[in-house]
Amino acid sequence: MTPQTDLRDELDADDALLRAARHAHAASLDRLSPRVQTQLAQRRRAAMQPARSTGRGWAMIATASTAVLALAIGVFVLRDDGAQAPQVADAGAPATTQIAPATQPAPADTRVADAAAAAPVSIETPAVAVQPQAVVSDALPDTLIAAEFDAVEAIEDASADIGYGTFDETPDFYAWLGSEDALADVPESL
Amino acid sequence: MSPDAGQSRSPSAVPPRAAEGHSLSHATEASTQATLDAFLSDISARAFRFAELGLRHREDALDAVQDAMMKMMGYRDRPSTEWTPLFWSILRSRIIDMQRRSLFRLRWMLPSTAKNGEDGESIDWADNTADDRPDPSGAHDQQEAYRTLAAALRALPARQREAFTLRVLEDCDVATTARIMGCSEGSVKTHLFRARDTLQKQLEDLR
Repeated sequence: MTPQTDLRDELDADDALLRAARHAHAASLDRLSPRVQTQLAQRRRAAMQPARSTGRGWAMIATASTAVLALAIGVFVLRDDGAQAPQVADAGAPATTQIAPATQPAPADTRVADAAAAAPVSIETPAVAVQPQAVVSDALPDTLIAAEFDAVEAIEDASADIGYGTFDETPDFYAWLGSEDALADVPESL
Repeated sequence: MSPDAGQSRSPSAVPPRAAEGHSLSHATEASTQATLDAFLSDISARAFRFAELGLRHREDALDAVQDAMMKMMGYRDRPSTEWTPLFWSILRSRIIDMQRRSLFRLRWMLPSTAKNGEDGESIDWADNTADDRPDPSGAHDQQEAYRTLAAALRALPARQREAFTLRVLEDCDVATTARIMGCSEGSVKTHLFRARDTLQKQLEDLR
């Protein structure tokens, strides 16, 4: 540090400029608008209570995280149910009917469509009263659904003579037909 | 056992010395809070003027002061003698952050008054019409004097403005100013010299 630098900082107490600047600054502190004064007081009070506001913030974050997590789990479960919907079946359902030509296990979503395309042999039905009905209906194009109904009508006509008409009133049966169990119960001769 | 566990016990179950220490710590904490509150109350107006000079925007200045106050809560356990340089250092950093952020602010989204610089260049001042002081013309002169000073300070480079404001207006010593600005004392003196030189040329009328 040079001596010249030292001299630079020697503020002259009698310096008119510095005195005037200090005087103007002091007056400005005294002349803050009431609005700003109120704001400063409010903000000071808010700043003096950080613990409470921080706790509230963490509570909001925790609540939001929980809600998002619950939503994600719900979506995941719904999608999972949708993928497995045709497999929801009653194991005790009658196993006396012939099954769609799908002899190999197929993905759940596509088996219904395959069966409908193979009408009138297929007995995959619109699953009128089965729980996953909405999922099946949503998964199929309208043309395939119409084909399904045609197939069901044909089966009903054909089965009227052998008493299969009573199956119309057993929704569990249709659910079982869509299951893997039904495929497993098909005799090799068929 | 957690420290809080003892609070649920009956007063008679608490050892007298522990209870005394507990109440003492509570009293110390309350005293610290009160002291810090008084400190912030005293410094808030000066902090606002300092931020207003740097940010040229009233609401931004209020935000910067509040942020600095909130951060000061984290240093309330420090000796109160350290609070002043700490607070100014925090506020200065906050102002720099907000200045950088304002560079990316979309000007076209601001109201027309702000775009024209009316808000950005104005300073907060109590309304003269509500003035009940004996000398309204003197108050007007004070306002004009501060406006002139503020305009000249805003025209300075940031480091020179900070050095002059802290050293002259806030009456910090050179070491404290250097600590606040994060530079050497020699740099403070250089900035101060240049600021004073510039201001002397601009503020002939103020003297």
